[in-house]
Amino acid sequence: MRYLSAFLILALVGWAASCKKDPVDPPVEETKNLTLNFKAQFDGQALPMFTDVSAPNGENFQLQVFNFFLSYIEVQKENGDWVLVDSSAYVNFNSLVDLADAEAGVDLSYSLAETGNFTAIRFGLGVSPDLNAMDPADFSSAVALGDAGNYWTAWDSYIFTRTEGKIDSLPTAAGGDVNFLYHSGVDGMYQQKNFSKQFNLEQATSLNFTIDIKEVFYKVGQEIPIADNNVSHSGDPSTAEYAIVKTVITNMGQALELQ
Amino acid sequence: MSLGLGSLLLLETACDPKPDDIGPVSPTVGSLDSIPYNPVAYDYPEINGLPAMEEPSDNRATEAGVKLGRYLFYERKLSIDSSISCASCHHQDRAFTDGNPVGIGVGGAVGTRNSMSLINVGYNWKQNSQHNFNWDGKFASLEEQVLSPVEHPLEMMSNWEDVMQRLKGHEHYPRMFRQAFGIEHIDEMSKELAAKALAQFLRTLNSADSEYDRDEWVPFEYMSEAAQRGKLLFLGDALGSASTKDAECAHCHSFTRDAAIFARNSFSNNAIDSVSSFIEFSDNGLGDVTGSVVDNGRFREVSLRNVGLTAPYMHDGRFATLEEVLDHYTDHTSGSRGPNVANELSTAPELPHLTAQEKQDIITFLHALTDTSYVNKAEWADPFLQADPWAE
Repeated sequence: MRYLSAFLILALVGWAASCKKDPVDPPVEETKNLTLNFKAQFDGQALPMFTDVSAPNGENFQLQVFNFFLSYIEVQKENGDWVLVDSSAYVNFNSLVDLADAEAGVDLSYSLAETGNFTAIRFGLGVSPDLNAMDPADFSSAVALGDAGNYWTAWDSYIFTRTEGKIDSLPTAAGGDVNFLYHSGVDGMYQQKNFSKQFNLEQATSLNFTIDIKEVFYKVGQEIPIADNNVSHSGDPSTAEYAIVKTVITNMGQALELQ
Repeated sequence: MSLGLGSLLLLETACDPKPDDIGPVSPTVGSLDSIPYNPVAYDYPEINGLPAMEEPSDNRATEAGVKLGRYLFYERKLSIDSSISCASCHHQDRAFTDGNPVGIGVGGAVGTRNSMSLINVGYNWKQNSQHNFNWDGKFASLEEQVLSPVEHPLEMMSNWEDVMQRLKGHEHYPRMFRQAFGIEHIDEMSKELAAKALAQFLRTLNSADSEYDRDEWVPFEYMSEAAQRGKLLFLGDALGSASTKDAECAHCHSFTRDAAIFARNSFSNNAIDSVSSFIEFSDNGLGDVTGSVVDNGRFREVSLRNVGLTAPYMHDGRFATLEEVLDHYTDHTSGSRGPNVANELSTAPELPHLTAQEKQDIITFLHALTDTSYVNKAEWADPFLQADPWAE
């Protein structure tokens, strides 16, 4: 009986101990040590979507849709080696309709194992030819390349950049608003960008890019003739449609600055 | 000896959360652990033109889960008076729509939105998006979406607590929940598991066997000439021919050979309401979900697969025929119809100038997206019409 009692006590103690819940570790958030921030501006001021701004030629200009792909984002170490950050990223300003949101911009955040000093960053504006040879069915829905809406079957190409919006009539012209839509795509439009910048990834670092939309549409000598040709989906390189969006994406590349 | 075994049994069962969580449980009443639980992963068929089906990591489909979901889909006990089921608004022979302008709930309650097709509905899921399901993008996942109609005041008018009590008291559902999810006790049956099963079933409703698909994938099978012409117009300035007239349809109803969904999983204002400001829409759609006025009047751009079976059209079923839809797009889509009309429409130079023949060719192509291969598919049909619905 004495042994039985001892056994029972032991069993109860064991039962009580076994019911103690294991401490639950909080989910570990991977620390992001590199943020690429992108801000759309117009003449140096934050540009919310669906907001009129005054263009140099006197017309009102409004951006409504603005997004673009980046390919092969890489940073350069002090020893000259390039480190891949991301093979593809999508920068989408469409939901930034308030001034505060526009001033905050779009963040791409990464956790890089490589730390230390870096001297440059480079990426392609658009979808690189190797990725552009693929199809949305080749990618997960978790990435923008997996979205069939970012692909234009007519040209077997991803849509590299979207710029859509409207202008009003010039003060001296008749007529109402002119909506515009320029979608760039196809391999010949891919723009490689390199930026020199000293930075260190021992601690969280943000690289801040701006793209001035005024320099995209109203760049002196490379203006986009919105009123005369308000729509293009890229197309064949021999056409005016191709030329106009090639100018759009070229201007975008030139307007993209690292602060 | 017997005491020792009893003590060991006590130790063995001490970590089972059931007794603590749900109070005393009879060792026999409500226990399900005598029922075998042998989950078999559901094997999604590979279908030409459709990508691999993605599923949430916490709800991988199993044969038993899909089966349970099918039974729940056709189960009238989900409604307050056991009068309607999910299938009441989603008929298999209409690509899982119902032919009404808007859904009809318990007692003839008239809803506000058109019942959406469920064919290929699993492809509406974008992993990082919060707005994937329903006309207004209210739900991120199918698991969230399927919970809604049961408690909607214009749909099933019930509540999940009552529904689960009914299912727990049912002769067969406890066994099916056990087989689907491995629960050990009847009280573990929950609305969340019911939703997982329904979502699993819905993710199996995939089909792509239309005239278009056979043209694309079967040697020497081609669409009619009218449908071919319609496809060129639908796709637009394709094949390097700048002279091809462009109806601009494929911007929103996009497709590739391997991802031929005919939708880009996005939302837009397609100008069906003529308004002069963001706050004049009769139904704000996505805007009520996101709280952003520029989303007002935006609704899901639906897949055009089976569009010939899913009349009437638009979120409120306002257009009875495809002809009316085409007339809308050719006649009423200028930017002056509203501040956020999709630019793909407002800038389309040739859309207003399509001829009657060209519009008919587009409609012929749309009918070539009709797939009837699943209309009598037994695995998707009402199990309660079987001679012995509960036979294992």
